[in-house]
Amino acid sequence: MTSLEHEGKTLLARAGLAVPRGGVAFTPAQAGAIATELGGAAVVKAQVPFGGRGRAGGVVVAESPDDAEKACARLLTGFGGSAVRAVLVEEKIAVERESYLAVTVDGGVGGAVLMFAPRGGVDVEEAVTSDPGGLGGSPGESGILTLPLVPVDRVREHQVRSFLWGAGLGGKVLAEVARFGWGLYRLMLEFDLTLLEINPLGLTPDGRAIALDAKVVADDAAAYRRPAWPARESEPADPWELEARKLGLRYVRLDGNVGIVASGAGLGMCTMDLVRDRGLKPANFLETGGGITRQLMAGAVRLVAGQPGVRGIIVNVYGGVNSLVAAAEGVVDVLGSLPGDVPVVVKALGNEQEAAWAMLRACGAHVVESVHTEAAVDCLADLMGG
Amino acid sequence: MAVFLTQDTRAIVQGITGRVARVQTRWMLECGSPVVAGVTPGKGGDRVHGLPVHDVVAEAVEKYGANASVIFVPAARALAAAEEAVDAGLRLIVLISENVPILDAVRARERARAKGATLIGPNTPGLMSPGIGKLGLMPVSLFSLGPVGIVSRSGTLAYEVAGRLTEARLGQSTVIGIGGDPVVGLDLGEVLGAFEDDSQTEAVVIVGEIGGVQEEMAARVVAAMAKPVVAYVAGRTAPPGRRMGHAGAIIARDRGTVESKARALSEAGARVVSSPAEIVPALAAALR
Repeated sequence: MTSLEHEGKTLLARAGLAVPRGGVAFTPAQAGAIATELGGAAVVKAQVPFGGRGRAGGVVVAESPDDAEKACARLLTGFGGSAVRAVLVEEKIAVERESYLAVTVDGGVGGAVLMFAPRGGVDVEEAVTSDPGGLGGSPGESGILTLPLVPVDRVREHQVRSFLWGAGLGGKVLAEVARFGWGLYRLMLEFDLTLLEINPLGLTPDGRAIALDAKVVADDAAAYRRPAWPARESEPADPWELEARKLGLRYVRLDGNVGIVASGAGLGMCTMDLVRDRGLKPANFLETGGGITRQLMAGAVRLVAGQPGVRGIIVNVYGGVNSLVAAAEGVVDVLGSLPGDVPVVVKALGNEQEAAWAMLRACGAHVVESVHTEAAVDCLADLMGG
Repeated sequence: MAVFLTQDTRAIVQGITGRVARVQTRWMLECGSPVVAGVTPGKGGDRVHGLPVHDVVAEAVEKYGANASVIFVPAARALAAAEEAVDAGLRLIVLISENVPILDAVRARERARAKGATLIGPNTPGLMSPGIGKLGLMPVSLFSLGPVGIVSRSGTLAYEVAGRLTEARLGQSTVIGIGGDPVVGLDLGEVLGAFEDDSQTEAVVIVGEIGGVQEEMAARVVAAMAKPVVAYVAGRTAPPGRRMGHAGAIIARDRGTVESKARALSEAGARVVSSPAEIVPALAAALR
């Protein structure tokens, strides 16, 4: 779950970390009223769940409440191809410099890390994701310093302070940034965050630190134990993705002519690659997981068959947890309702495979008995006339 | 000799009384796996497929000399189960559970490392050593005994590759799924190191996928290996920024792409192939 900026700032404020004064507006009139409260001038920021917003014109400096109303009205018409439901109207903060501060969980180090860059801003994000070599406590090419947070539950405040001292901070600024770093660490544990990124972290002429933006990614797997916090998961805009989520499928919509149903992530990606190699185009990535039931399989095949442009379907599954007969029944349930010119090729190996194959053949599906996924792809390509 | 799951392994099943665990325990036993007992708190005294069920792991260690565990518990209890296994002194812990919170995976990994235990997973199909058995979900019919080690981030793709090798009469020493999450206990590079030291293994297949830095990190190990390594990385056609099933399978800007992984492995001396069909010929050439 990726939060919006104002939701992330609510979390920071709750932990006692400084954020600009301001409020969320859903209408131009509300934006004007908030700007008036702030003394007239304000920064109006589109609330969208993706980065690169500043460069693309999603942040507007308004000199008056009237300006703020106009900026809000314009941003609410949509931005960067995404609907905008709200804007954040904030006071303008005069800063001496901008830094970068974040906590994240990194697979490369197998644990959590605190990251700090003395110079933050728009370019540091690129550096962060392209510089895994910077992890491990030494500065990478980007100038980002990292502190491994180990053991993850036993980090002490002085470790954060020493790390930032080693990064060249001192005096009041050191104390302020260290308080921020410690706060981010505590929030990561409390809310099961996989990323909490402050970019930029503004440092004022009088030595205070203030979060000028906040990006928060929470771990979906930990939702069950997360304390209440005013961020909610946005629903996918694509109706197929929404339906897939309801069915419990892992699904990404693409733009091709071959629908794919696979029982695992790696097999699904491999099938996509092989479909492309054969000159066809994958219409989707779809993973059922191992515990395939009749209902799940029927839902999956119906879903990909309903996508516009799909001219053939490949079902590629291994039966390890459940019997393949359940998977076959699910395919059979849907076969009759498919257009006659949409062939279905099934490669299914594992528990009770022979019974599953017989059932599928009897209903017009094309069964490939090989362990080679490309054999199934070739079969489908021939049936599609390609 | 296989790696991790060996002739000396005596395993328990944590969460053995659950629906999936019961079925999987039966299949593990049917292929001869060295499973000696089960553990489910509150179910001590029950039996599952003839195996005794105990309330605590320590009792299974004391009574049967258990030294390994395969864990089938809901995600919310996965960390506690892994911690109990580590604290009871087990040396090999296979955490099958999926959707484990990532910080719990970090905690389990830290705990296992502090005590010198090997943690495989979470979100793993487990491992199989043909001739000895399996701790996990692998469909046995696709595997055969032989000289090739397979290490994979994906279960289903490991099955596909093992099946192709078996068909080509290239058996396997051990097949390991390290798990598809961003943080896993046992890293790809560590499995390669174990295969390099294993007398049965003559060549290794890496089955990778987009996302994360496991393959890039493992390249350092590949560079130091004397045994031939063949690598295949899935997800060439995956769009950036979209999660492809596994929590770890996502391309973030230019990081975690098939190209970056293939380049790192290739520069380290692995024979990188672009489709599964090329794995067997590449292995056959390497073993000749």
